[in-house]
Amino acid sequence: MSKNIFVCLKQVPDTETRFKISDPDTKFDTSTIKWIVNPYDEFAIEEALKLKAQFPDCSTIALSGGPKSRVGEALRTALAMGIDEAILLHFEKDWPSAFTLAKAFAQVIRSEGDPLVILTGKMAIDDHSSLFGPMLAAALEMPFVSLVSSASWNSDHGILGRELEGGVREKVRVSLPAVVTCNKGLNTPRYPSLPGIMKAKKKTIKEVDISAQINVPEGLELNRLTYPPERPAGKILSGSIDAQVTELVTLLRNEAKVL
Amino acid sequence: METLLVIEKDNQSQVKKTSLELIALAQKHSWNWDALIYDQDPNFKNQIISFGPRTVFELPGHPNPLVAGSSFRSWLVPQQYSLILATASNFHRDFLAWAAFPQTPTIVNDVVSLEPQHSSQILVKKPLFAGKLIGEFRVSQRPAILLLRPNQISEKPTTKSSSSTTFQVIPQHNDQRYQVLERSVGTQTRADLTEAERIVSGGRGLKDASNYQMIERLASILGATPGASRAIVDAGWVDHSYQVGQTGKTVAPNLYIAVGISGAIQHLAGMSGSRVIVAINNDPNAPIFQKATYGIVGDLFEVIPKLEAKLKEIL
Repeated sequence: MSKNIFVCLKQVPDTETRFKISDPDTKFDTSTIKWIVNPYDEFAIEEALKLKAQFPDCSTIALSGGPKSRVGEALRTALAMGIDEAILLHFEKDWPSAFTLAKAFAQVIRSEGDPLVILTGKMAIDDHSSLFGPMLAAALEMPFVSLVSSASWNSDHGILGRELEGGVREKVRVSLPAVVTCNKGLNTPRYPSLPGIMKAKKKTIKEVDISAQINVPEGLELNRLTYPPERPAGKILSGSIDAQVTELVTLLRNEAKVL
Repeated sequence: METLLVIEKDNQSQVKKTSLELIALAQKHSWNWDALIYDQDPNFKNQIISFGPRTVFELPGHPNPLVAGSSFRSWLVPQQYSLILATASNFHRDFLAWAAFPQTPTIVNDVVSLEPQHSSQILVKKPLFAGKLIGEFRVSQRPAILLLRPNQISEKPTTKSSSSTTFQVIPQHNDQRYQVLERSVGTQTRADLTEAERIVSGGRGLKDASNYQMIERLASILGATPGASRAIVDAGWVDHSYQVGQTGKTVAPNLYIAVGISGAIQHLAGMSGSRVIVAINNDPNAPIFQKATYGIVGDLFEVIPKLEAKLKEIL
């Protein structure tokens, strides 16, 4: 079985980042930002590598979208972890919609062909939208399973465990090809090995320019960025612990009215 | 504005609190609204009718997002809605995003406020980077699907005497490619972190996994949902589903109590939308105190038992 295992990655600012809105206020200062692979997408990379170990004739292909000036680095990380090939989908627009992205990614995946499965993270830690996975599946007319934290794979289906709100657990059987979004707990992503890093440097990353598809106006545009409202200065209580606890409960009840 | 609201049922056969927020929003703007439900409970239906929808549509397929999604998609095409509103949840994101393709491209998750503008435009705000920034987006395409974050609308819906509500069942489109083999309802009877009105979270200050039961106990006295910092999730003390922060859940309860959490920037981002924040930590310089409404600087092992006793007296 020589099919393709696709992994869709997003490059995001490191979680330590403190943001500074620039001028115009639809942008933020990126000069000091450290870019990383979205943490949930690392589970997708690892799952692709596990699948490759199970089905050695398959190829693993990582895809990532964004400016080619920076996104190549995320793809190099995937290659260094052991992914076979990488495709960079170039565009410059900030906050493209899940719809335009899913359409563009679907087109590239179709042209590569023969998908066994398409893996991505359950969400990206920049916009927390979780819409790309199901939209990509719809664009490819495939089924999808979100929030997957356990998996066993066969050549034509997967048995996948998912965790939902309120501790609900589901076991799902999905026919392949399918889009699967990965959650923490699915696996432990490996670190790139030194030989892996050396090998990744030599690999060619294929580039596809999708700017024309991404720049189509489609009814959802960023107007501006703002900072969250400042929280008023809080009250640090004083006195004995007993007095502080009594005061806290009184404040919660009478001032904040949350009890 | 022609609006479709996705309305959910809670464990007591009542309309879920998060759904009441959607109804209150529609009433506030005097929108014409229909309800989309996927539960058949008669008490629940009667309660919905009391708020005055035009039609209640029943969507088949729950909890299978493919069946619900493709049934919804085929049904939606000829409808004339401007807005489709649902609470931000996994099932809603899944089936609506699936259904949105390719006819309904505009969908926004985690909306915290929406303002209709003059020229058939809506301004919506959503947190970015778990709330480190707020993005204001112009939505101009119809219909738009907006997924609202819970606990953002304080108004309550009013009952209206209307006897003209009609019922319709949406035809089911089966899709054998996705089958739910098992579904175990969680042992948790409390609200999910993302919907909770009260949250008690614990961090590394608890010192040992076995001390997390202090958090569980305090949460149960308050009817709160227990949460956790990333540090103790990574240490394996509690499951990832408890994690509050940029790589976990973004939360906005009325009351957030942080116990033994110093307040890494990723954690602060995930919980700063809470209305009242209480911090309990022995380090007076812990960043959590900068976000706290009320702070107690002290040993949590001394503070928590006293707080429990005090709360038991009054609750």
